[in-house]
Amino acid sequence: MPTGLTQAERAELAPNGWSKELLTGFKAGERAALTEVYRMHAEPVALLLRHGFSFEASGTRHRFVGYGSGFELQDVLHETFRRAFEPRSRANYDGIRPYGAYVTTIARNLVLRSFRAREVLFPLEDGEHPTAATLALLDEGPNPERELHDAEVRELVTAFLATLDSDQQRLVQLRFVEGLSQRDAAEALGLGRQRIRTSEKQLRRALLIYLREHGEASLIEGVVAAVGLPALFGAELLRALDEVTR
Amino acid sequence: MSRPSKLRRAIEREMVDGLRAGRRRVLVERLRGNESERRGWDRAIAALRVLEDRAVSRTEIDQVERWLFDDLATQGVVEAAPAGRGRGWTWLGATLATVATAATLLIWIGGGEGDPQPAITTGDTGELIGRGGLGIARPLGLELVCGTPPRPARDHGCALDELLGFSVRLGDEALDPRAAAALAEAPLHLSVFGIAETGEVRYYLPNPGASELPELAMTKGWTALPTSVRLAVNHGPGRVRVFALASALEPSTADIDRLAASLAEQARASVDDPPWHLRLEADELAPLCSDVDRCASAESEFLLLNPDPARDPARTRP
Repeated sequence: MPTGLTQAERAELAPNGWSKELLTGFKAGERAALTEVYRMHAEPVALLLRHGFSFEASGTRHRFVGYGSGFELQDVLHETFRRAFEPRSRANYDGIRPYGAYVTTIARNLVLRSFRAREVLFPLEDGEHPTAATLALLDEGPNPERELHDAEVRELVTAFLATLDSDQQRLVQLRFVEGLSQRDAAEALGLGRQRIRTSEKQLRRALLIYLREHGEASLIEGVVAAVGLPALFGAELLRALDEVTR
Repeated sequence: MSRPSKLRRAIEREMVDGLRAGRRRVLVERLRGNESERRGWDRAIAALRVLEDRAVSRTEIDQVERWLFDDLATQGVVEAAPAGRGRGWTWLGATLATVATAATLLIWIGGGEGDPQPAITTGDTGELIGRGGLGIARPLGLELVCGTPPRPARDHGCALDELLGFSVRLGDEALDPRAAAALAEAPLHLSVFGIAETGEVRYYLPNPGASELPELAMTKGWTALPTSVRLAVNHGPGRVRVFALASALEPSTADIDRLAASLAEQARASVDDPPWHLRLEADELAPLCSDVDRCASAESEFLLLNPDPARDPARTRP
């Protein structure tokens, strides 16, 4: 539940911390309410699917290492919320339990359903003590192939950034390095928000074309989409941007 | 600048502008379980994550938001997106819900999925389930039989002096109700053809002696087709892949030649592959399946045994 609220404001909240209006709209299947709930919970679920979790089955400890494939992650994220937003699921949600835990468990169940079919994703964790299945996030640790691939993708993106004009580089800096919202970035650049949206779309298109033109042959096979490790982010991108904007 | 493949163009369009819901579902189905084909997708996502400096990019989360609300609108759960609404580039791909399209593939999830009790399950039939528990509904079933009494051709092969028969069923309990309703609207025409190891096409239905195609309606059971193929005619030893298509329009032999040419280039399907008509490009299917909700496909294969067992090392193979 949000802190720092007045008593009156608390009275307006449902037990799960949502506003009563949001809960009512959600139960009724109103688009605005469902959109707000999705935006509130999609990222934590996506991160769970990205980083994995440990669980126990038939007395044996396993670890789901997370989806290396962006496509697979999106596919399961989509299915998670599709199920969570079904009329029956919404009707069954009591508004008392935290919704994050509720939807995360749906995602976890989806992963576990494929357990038997895709055991390759679940290497045994030797030496770990069996415990009840938890949602503990696990670091995948270093992997030479992955690190090499990450470096290659980073180089590609760095090279792509070098092709951008100063306005586009400024947009990348504000939106993705400084983390400004579209609204704030628009203000900082003296542009309309729609212009920012259009520019971002153009940026994405240009990146995909660049990747197609330069990336297919250079990336090593077999470890696709293993990039995105938090440890590689931030400082590296800043350094890359520094290099191309210097 | 090199010209991208059709698949790559579709992926880029989906990631930047957003495909219409129906095309997007077909694309996603095609990429499921096909690691090599989704490599371009995965690389693009990887680069977007680096660009956005996130473990999971906003772009991919927004993309899923668009998929989700397109599907909910199609199901009538929410109203369709008003133009110009939405965050970031999400609105760009939001269109009015189109026909159910790959709903013919989407699994109908029964019982208790919204109730988050940790569990490990498989499908009711024990079939392999692709990642995310997303099974693939296969509304059209095809069974090949040969010999007397009839035996499954897929398991034991057939002899050259035997007749090949067919059983089919249209209907799947895993089928999304919307997709089932679309398939049940009117009887569909069934065509069946084979591709020999040599690449030659075998015309089973229609064929020069039987141009009228049987009509298929939704049913819970299997139906034996009133036609059989004398394998001694126009066949030789080796593996034959057999493809069935239920479509609103009757295919001509030219249509079958076109489909066979495309299918001959594809590897044998695995459990993770969608039905074959959804693995083909839209222009290869057109106009037979311009409405993919009104199409269903199935495939099987059998080994035609060499009359001289000593010359047929494959005889012992299932």
